[in-house]
Amino acid sequence: MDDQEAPNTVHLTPAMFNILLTLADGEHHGYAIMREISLRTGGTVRMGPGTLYRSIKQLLAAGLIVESEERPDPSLDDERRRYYRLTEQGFRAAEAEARRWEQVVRLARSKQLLGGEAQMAAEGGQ
Amino acid sequence: MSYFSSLRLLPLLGGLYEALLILFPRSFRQAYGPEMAQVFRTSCRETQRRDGARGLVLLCSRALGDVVWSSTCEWVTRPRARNICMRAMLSVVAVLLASMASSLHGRRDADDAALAVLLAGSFLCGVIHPKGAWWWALLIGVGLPGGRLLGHITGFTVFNVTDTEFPLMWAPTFVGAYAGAAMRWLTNRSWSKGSRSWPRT
Repeated sequence: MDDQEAPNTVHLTPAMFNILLTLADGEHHGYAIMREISLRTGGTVRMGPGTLYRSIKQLLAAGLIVESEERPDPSLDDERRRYYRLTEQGFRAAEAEARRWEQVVRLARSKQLLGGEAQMAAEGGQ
Repeated sequence: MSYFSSLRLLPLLGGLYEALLILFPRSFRQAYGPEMAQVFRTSCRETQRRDGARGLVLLCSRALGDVVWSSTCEWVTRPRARNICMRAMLSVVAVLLASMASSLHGRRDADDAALAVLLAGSFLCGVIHPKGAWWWALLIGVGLPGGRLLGHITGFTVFNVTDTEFPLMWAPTFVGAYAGAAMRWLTNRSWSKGSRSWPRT
């Protein structure tokens, strides 16, 4: 497979993409992923435990993430928590999805649909 | 809400959430249930500390919606459930085809068209779901006299109970359904052979 080519067997839902983005920083447990997504999106994306673990299950099945074997010191953390990390394939899938979104944003920008440009264009047209 | 009462409320909410997890399939619940309950409990503690009772109510309502939605998705996307959904949809299609054949059969000089619909419909169902070929043949074959009987009850057609040709309608439906199943089997076989012989790049 070409290095630039991403695995296209899994359709990434917004929830799955958000989880991959979060895990790009390093390994996290379920609650940390949920909190990080909520913080990063300013609270606009609030994922419930059901959606979170359904997405994690799909990502694990697709081989995009794996459960981490290394655990923090049990005295510092709850030992029942499972940590997840990105695989090489997961990294490529996240990269491909990010590039796809980059193209969409570039297109929206060229059509002056983003931010003040859109407002200015609308005012100019009146 | 006082701090003391909220302390008693949090375990109760956690227990209720754990009880709600019964909505998920057993395998999913066993794999992720304890973690989900733990995440919910931690969320409750954090929300109660940060936003108080109002935040807790919002969190619980969102969690309830999330459990209902994600458990439904989990059930629907299971291979067995997908199979059941497909069979149900194909059954509806088969009944519609049988009704169409039945209405054609009642018309003068349209028997060939009715036969063509029976054959084509059962063939199609056999191709899509070859394991249930016998079911599609039976369903479409029964649909023909069924449609005529329904037409008779509603006063649109004349149904002759001594009509001996109805059992014969199963012959084309069985031929069609099993021909479809055989075609699917042959196609699968040639594809799998082809994939083995494709060169690796």
